[in-house]
Amino acid sequence: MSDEKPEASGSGSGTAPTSKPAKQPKAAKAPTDGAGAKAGEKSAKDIKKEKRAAAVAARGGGEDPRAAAAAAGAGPSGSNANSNSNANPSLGQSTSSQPGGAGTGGGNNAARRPAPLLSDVSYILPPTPSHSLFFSHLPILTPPATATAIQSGKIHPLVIRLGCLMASGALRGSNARTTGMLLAFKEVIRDYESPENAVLWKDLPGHLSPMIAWLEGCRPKGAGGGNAIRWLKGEINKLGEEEEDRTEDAQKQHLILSIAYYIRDRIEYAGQQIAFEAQRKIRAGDVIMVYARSSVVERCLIYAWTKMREADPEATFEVIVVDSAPLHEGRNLLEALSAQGIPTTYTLLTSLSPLLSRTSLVLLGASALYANGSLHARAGTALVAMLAKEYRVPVVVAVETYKFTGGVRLDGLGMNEVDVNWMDEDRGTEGIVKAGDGKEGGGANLTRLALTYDLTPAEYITALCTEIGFIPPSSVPTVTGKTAAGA
Amino acid sequence: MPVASPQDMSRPVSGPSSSKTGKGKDSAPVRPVEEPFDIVGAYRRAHEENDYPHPLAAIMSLVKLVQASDSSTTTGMVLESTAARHTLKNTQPSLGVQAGSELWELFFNAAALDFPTDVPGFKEHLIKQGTYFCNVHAENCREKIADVAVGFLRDDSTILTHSYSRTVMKALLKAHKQHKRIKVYVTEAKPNCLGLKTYQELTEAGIPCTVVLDSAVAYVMERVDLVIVGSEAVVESGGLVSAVGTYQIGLIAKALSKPFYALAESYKFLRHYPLSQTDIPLPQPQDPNAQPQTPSNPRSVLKAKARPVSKPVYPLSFSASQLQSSASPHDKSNTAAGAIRSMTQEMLDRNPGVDLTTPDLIDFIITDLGTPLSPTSVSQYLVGLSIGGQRD
Repeated sequence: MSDEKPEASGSGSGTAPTSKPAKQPKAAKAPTDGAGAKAGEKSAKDIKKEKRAAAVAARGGGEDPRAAAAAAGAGPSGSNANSNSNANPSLGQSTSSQPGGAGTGGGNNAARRPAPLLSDVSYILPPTPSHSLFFSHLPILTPPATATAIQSGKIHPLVIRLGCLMASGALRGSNARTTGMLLAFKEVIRDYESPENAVLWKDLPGHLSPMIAWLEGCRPKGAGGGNAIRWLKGEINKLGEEEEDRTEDAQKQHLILSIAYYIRDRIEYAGQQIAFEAQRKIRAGDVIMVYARSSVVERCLIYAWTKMREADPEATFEVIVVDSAPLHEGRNLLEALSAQGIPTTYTLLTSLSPLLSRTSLVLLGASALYANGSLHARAGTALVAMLAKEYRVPVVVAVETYKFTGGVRLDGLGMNEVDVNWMDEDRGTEGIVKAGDGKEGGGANLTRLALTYDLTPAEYITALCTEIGFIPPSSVPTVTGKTAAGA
Repeated sequence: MPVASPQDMSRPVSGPSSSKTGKGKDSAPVRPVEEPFDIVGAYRRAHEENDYPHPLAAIMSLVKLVQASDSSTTTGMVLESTAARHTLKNTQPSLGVQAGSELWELFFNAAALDFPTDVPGFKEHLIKQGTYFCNVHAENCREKIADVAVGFLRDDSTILTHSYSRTVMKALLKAHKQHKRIKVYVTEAKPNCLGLKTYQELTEAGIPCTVVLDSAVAYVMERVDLVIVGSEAVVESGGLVSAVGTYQIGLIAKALSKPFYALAESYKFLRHYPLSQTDIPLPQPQDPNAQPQTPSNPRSVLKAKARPVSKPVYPLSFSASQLQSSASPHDKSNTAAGAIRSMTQEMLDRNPGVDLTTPDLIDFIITDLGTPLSPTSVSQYLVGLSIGGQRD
């Protein structure tokens, strides 16, 4: 097999399905593909959700793939333009979390995912054996079919825009994405009117489902987003159990308010509290190592710096920002830290070990924490944590409890995302990409693979810094159990 | 999960109504308020004269504060109590004080909900339960721990213990009473040499006991069947904060694969997560004697305490002057006076009183909660307590 065949077929999104025929339930369209393949390794509840998503996508997605691709190409670039004016104010946190999002990121991302798909076939996944063997179950994100979504009329425009922002990478980070999603759903609920002969609490979940599926197709929502959606559905269900009859408007108001509280308590306030807890562990003269970028870690460092300076204008601590390809997210963090005047060293993952010997604390961000205490975070985190353990440097993970989840994960393969196009952005690798059989795209022998996440086993984590204080990773199930019971 | 400690405190009182029935066992008549209540003095009296362990002494002194209080509102009492807790925390080096006062806070807040308006009832309830907890419940705790721990002491076994611990003593004496032939090695435990107190008590009871130099622990470890230590506080990571030297005993026991058990009452559990040996809260280095408080205006006390007077100095850190002098090797004024044979008081003062035994070294923590806990269960218990406390 080579990438010439898809080239010959000339259809952009049609190639992705051909690379993994086994998982294909039916001759499906691009959007269905990602969701369907992933269903295999998800929990029963999720499978149900996925089925619904697949059904929705199939209903809406039965169009010419070419049209979808074209629409996708137009979509995100339009949304990036919008993001300055409209989306960002409403998605408050996304602006602050992505300094480069609108400027450099926006430009890059518009160029990166959807647009070149039409012109440049090298963006298509090379169907190599190694890829299909290990990573075939992972979603390979195709550009969102914006036109279909709009035509279907089932998806709120704000949600469509949000999906495009997530797919393009303009909106990155669990906190930013979860906040964005909740804010969008708040607007959806505001605009929602239940049809005749229907009650809100029965109809609204069905109304939201296609939107949730659409967002999932743009980018998997992760544990934090999953928890938020589960909570929202629970809130809607509670309306049905109420004794007294409230008007629909009152119910909507209640939901909108609840969402605002959720964002405030579980994300905003939690972040503040984590910064407060972490600050108590950072002392003058410490060297703090951080990896990539996490909004909470950034908050912790800046808060600790401000506090330390308040107490003693002479006292300092130092930060080492460890970064890695392909996303180089650490640069955003570096920018924020430099703006505060914090002494910072910027380095790449490759020079980790000589720096660890003079590090006093490793502070990491998280995407999710599983019941066995393992940490799901940006790829490279596990490497930092393991090496830090070897050097006996305490590893602290700053994480909000809404990212705690009940599942058990043993490796980073089960749940991940594949970025197959990353080499195209990396200028230094142009020559290699063109090598192989001399064709652009590297030919059949080259798998260009970058996984977005990895998994750090609990034994490499000293403590979690959460809004309920420092806890060991072994206490994750206690917290999830208690909050589930209490909520 | 076993019952939470603050609930233990309130166990004998079935409801708010029944608290009126009588006063606590030794609740002194409410003193006429002599103005600033000396919380530190009360703590010291409780600790030294009445021989309460640190957490209980802290609770007792806070009970005394409630007795002395003339506050007419619940809010006033809360403010007083908060200020006093901060004072204790900032002046007393023992982590047990922190554990005790945090437990008191949980209990205090729970009681405040039960008595929103009835201030005399609230006070009476607090005094009664506080004294009950310190005098009866704590003793029951130690009894329960000894009951569990004695099962681990087999006949004809050799035990190593460190320093002096009431709970460990109780378990050892109990085993002896059950006619188990146990032999005990006890460390000298400098600088307080409390190991000698252990030696004395065990020998009087007729248990064969040998005092081991702190530096000879590794030497005797191969003859030891198990290590049992007491603790000052159990932290959230499952680690122990206890008399200095426990950590190295733990390391040696681990290296030679000897079981290492810790005995701790659940009121010693502390919501604090140390990341290193120096990450144990130290009292603010300020004059501990100057504690005039104005209960009428506790906020000002709080504020004054919060201001850092000077940077905390961690034990055994090199001072600037030392680093200076090492730069000039010719300056021998320190040693010129002759060979130093024993540690000077200044040297002793620079050493830590407690250290942190990391959870990976501990096999089990035997508590009053029933079955021995693994170190990770400590956090689960504490998290359950704090989240449960918030939600209920």
